[in-house]
Amino acid sequence: MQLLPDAWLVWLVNGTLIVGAVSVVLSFLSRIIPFVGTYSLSLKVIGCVLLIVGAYFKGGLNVELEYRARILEMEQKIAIAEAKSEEENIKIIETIKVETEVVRQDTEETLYLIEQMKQQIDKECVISPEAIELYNQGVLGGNE
Amino acid sequence: MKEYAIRFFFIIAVLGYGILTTGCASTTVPVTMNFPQAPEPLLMKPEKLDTLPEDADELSDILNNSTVNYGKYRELQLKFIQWQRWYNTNRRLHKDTQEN
Repeated sequence: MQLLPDAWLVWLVNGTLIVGAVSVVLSFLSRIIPFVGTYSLSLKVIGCVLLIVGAYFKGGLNVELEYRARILEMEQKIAIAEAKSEEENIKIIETIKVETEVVRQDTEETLYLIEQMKQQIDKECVISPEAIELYNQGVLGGNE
Repeated sequence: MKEYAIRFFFIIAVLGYGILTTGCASTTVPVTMNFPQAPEPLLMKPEKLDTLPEDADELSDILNNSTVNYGKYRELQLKFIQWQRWYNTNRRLHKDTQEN
């Protein structure tokens, strides 16, 4: 049922109702129309069944159409959300690119200053191998 | 008489089938949002901190090393903040799609 287009469903249900109604009316007019008289009972039964089934599916059709509208609405919302998510990703990539560059420039500037002041910094301080080992332990977290 | 019974049974069967199959129809909307893709820079493996070379014996070596490592920390901090931004944005977008 979900594979059928909306218009087909409307036609199918309305067609069932119309055929049902026509059959019932014809069955009551069977006395006037000689040819139909033979099928009077069959027409009545078929007409009633079609009317009942048609009425039932008329209600079902409204539910189905509402359901399809909800699917369409959901698909639109998701498409918008995915587009916004993609847009946000582009902004995030741009922010990372720009700010990483700032961080690297800062680091380079500081390294340059250290290089400039190297003699002054190293004048009175010598680092022992034990201190280096401890320092590296701190860098690596002591586990590597 | 037998013919009417068969017809009656047929009508009941058709009506029953219609009611049962329509009753089984799902009302859950079968549309879901795909899990969003995170930006590539956020998925990269973080850089390890640099250690001091064994032959380093001056304070400037430590300062150089610390500066480089602080830079790496700041880059990670930046990525962490962007992870939070990505998560909050996508959480909000997902929530928006679920609301009527």
